[in-house]
Amino acid sequence: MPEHCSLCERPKQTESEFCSLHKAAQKGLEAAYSEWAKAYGSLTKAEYFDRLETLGETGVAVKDVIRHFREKGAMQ
Amino acid sequence: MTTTLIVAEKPDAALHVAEALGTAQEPTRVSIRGVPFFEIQNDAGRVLVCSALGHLYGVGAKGEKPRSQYPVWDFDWKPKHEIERGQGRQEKWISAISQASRQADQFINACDFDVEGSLIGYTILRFACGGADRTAQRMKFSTLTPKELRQAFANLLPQLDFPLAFAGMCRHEVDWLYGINLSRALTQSALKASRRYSTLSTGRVQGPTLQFIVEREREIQTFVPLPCWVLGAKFDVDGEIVEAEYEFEKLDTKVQGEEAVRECAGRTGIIEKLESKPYQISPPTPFDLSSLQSEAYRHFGYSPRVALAVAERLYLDQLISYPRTSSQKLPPSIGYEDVLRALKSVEAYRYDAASILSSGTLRPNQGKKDDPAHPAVYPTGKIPEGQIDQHGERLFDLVVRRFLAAFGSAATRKSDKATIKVGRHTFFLRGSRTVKKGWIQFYMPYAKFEDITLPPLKEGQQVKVVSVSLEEKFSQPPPRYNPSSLLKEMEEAEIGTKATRAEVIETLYRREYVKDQRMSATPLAFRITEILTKYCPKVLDVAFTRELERDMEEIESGKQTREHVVHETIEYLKPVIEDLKKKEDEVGRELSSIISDMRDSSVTLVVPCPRCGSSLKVVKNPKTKKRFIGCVGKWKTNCTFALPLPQYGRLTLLEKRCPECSFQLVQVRSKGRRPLVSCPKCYVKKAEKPAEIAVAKSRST
Repeated sequence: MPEHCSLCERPKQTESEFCSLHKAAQKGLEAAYSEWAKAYGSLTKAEYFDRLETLGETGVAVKDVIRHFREKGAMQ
Repeated sequence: MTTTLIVAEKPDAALHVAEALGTAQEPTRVSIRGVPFFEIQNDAGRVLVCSALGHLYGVGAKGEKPRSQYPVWDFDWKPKHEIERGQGRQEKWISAISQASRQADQFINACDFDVEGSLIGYTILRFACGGADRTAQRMKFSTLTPKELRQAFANLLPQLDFPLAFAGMCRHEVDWLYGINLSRALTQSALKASRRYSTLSTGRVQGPTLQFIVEREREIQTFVPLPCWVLGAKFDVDGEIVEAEYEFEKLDTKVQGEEAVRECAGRTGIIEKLESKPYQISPPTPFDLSSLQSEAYRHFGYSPRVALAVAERLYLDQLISYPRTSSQKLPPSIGYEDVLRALKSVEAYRYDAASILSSGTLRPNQGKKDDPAHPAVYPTGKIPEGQIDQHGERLFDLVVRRFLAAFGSAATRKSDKATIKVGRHTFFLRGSRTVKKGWIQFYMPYAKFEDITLPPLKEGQQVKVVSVSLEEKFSQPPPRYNPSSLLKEMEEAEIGTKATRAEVIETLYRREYVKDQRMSATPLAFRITEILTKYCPKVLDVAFTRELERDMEEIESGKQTREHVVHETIEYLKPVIEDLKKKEDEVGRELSSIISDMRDSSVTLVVPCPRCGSSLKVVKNPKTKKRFIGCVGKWKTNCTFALPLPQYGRLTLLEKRCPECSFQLVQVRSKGRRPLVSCPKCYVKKAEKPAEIAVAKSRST
């Protein structure tokens, strides 16, 4: 029986705590941070997450990952 | 005396055929076993015209097999009533046609001239008329007007269009092999694991189509927007304030934007260059089915299936030509002038039709796509006489306007551009206007072009910057499909046919794989797609499906045989299905949790009971079988809060809230109707009924 994703009922991917959807969201989230930081001059990860959480354009899976990181305290 | 039996596709078509082919009097309506036939006399002798009711025969498993059994590779063509429930009418029809065929010496297939029509006629003549397919002839027509039907009867094709019928048979057989085996594999796996029955399905076209939606949903759900800044400026041009756009559509950093604002605010710009370019817009091409469906969605919000149904009704009423066409061409043989003259007699089209007729040579703008069987959709010239409803009226007008527009000359528009320099920054003022209407005047109100006129400007003129704005924006996720854009995607990917695509989309809704008009994939759709990707990825492969589609098209042109394509399909599917069967437990486990979640969420409202705060659920009274919204607090606090629900159609709880009272909205979808969205709470208020309805004493959740 495969283990579940930390955020949903889907089976998790190898070497990740997430399923394919949340893993893709996490990857996108990490990749976009440098572009956000460049766009604003400077931006902490907490500010980055705050902004993304308020935007309607942000995907729901990305918001799930942000909430998960917050709960885990993994903001750096 | 010779008796000829003509098989038409639908009862209305049968009546038109009989009316057109009779010499003197009106057709006599005769009844055989309660099924209507039309009898006429003409030069050919006695003619009996009957109709099918769509397909009277279909593919079924050979012999008697339980409906749950799979894999199934042996099949037969059987009467529909033997393979599907609720087809009693079809049984009566077959028996009546069979009886009539015993009186006939000659047979003619007068069903619609396409794959499905050819197959409907072929199976009836072969199975119900004792092998009459061998000697039967074929009528070929694109409109049900008396003139064209008489021409078709006078120029009968000497034999049936077997390649078309065999291509249709092959499509049904291949789809059946896919559908039965894959759907049963999913359904049985889920049943085994959860002990609860849920119809799960996939198919040759359905799988890749669902994959499009799931992929799009995945992109949307994992979308991370990127910031950008849009700069704009307002200029004072001789007292008139005009808005100009910046040379770069967007700026990637905030610093760039702020710097530009600082450097432009309060300055004076100079008009460096004025440009004005005319450009032509060609008339639209005549409608093929998909462009008709797309325009019907754009202007009236009709789903592709509704648009097709309305168009078919217009065709049966002799008002437009056969709508299931891929052609965007109108050959001269349709009689351009006759149609235009007929349209001239209608007040709404009088001026436009007269204008086209007086313009000289009649030459419509032909599109690239062609269809050997039918021309593009066009009005026959028959004028509606109050027999069509509002949907029919709208679609008829659209078809007429598009037909007229195709004969129009190119429209000319002019684009104006002023380049304004403010220091090192450049802004543009843009305008555009129609200078020659051409075809646009015939396609109103469906052609929409906005006119923006610039104030009088001169090169070297100084213009004061009134304000500079810097707006923070974010990149947007890709849009969700709607039924029309999905249909277009299927067409571009060359999967499905013009006749089946709309139905595939409806099935996705029926199976609860998608919801809402802006189609979003449900968790079940994700899970089904993930399972198919894991265990049988080729089933979702668009290229593979397209290849199969092409093989089937080659049967139509005689380059491929039906037997070969079916054999190849079985060879491919066998190991896939056998593997799925072996992994039934695993697949079932992956499906069962999502089915249970879906079932629960489909009946549980997100808004709490306004009286006791407990959950609200859609429940059914076991005695009256009526559904309503009930409070689960009934079991704890004896709360009797309840709201009525629409009783017919498939009910979905929407995520949207009522703008009036914030209660959760519900949607009901019934076949052939537009989805109805309503608020159960407001409905009660509007109906001036008490907020609670009497709830039967015993009820279940």
